[in-house]
Amino acid sequence: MERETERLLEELERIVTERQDWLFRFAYMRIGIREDAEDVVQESLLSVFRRLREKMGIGNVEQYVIRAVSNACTDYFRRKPLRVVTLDKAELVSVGEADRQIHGEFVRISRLLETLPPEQQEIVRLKCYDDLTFKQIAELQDIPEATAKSRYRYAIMHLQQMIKKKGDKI
Amino acid sequence: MNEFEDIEQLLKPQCEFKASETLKQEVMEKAREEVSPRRTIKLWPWLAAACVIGFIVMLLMPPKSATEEKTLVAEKVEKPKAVEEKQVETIPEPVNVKVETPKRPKVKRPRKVVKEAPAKEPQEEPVQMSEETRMELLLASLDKDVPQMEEKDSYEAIRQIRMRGERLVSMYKAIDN
Repeated sequence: MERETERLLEELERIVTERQDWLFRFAYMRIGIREDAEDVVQESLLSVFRRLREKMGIGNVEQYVIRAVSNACTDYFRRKPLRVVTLDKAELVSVGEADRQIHGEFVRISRLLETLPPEQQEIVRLKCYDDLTFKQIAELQDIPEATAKSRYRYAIMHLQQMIKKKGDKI
Repeated sequence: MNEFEDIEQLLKPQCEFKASETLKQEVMEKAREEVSPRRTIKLWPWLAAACVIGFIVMLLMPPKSATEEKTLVAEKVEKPKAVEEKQVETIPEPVNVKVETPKRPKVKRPRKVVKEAPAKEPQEEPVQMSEETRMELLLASLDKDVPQMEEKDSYEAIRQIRMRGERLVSMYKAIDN
C-alpha cells in the first residue's frame, strides 16, 4: 500500500515538474490573474492525484490533467463572475514587474480574439497558444475532430479579414 | 496560405510563462497530507474517548433530587453534632460554677450563723444546751449534705468534707469565744 502511494506521489511530482509552467500558462491565458491561475492549477493537480489514488480509470494522464485545468477554469468563471477581468480593465490590473510581460501577452491575445465567438476563441487558443493537436482539442471540447478543424479555419479567416480591414484603414 | 501561417505565428506565445517556485512544493505538501491519514487517526480516538467518558459521567451522576436529599441529610447530621458539642462545652461550665459555689457558703454561712439575728436566738439557746446536743445538731446538718456529695467526684467530695470540717472547727471556735 505504501509502495503504491509512493509511486503515485512520484508520478504526481513528475507531472508537476514537467507540466506546471505549461498548465500555469494555460490557466493564466484564460483567467489573467497569477494567484487565481496558480490556485486553479494546484486544485486540478490535486484532483488528478485523488483520482489516481482512488484507482479510477485514467487513460491518458496528461490529457486528463489538461481537461481538469480546462474544467477548473470554466468553474472559476462560474463561481467568481465578479473577479473576471474584462478586456477594458485588463490593462488596469495591478501586476508585479515580473508579471508585466505575461500580462501584456494575455492582453494582446485577448484583444486579437475578442471579435470571435467564444467557442472559436477557445479552439484558436488551444491550437495556436497551447499547441494541441486537433485530436486533443476534439477530445477536450467533446466535439468531432472535423468540427474543431472547421471552427479553427473560420476563426483564422475571420482574423485575416479583420487584420486586412485594419491595414486598409491605416 | 502565407497569411494563414502569419496569423498562426502571431497567435503563438511570445514570452515564457513561469509558475511560482512554491507551486510545486505546495502541491506536493497537500498531496502528502492527503495520503498520510495520521491526523484523522490521531483525532478520532480522542474524540471517541471523550464522548464515551461524557456518556459514562452522565450515567453515573445521581439525579438532582438525590443530591438535594443528601444535602438535607448532611444538614440533619450536622445539627445534632453541633448540639452535642454545645452540651459538651456547657458541662464543664457548671462544674466550674459548682466548684466556686461551695466557697460562698464557706464564707457566708459562718457569718450568717454568727451575725444574723435568728442565729443569735439559737446562740442563746445553745448556751443553755449541752455540748452533746450541739454536736448532734452539727452532725445532722452534715448528714443532710452527704447524699449530694456522693454524686460528685471523689476529689470534690473530699474537698467538701474538708471544707465542712474547717467550718465546723471555726464554728466551735466562735462558740467558745
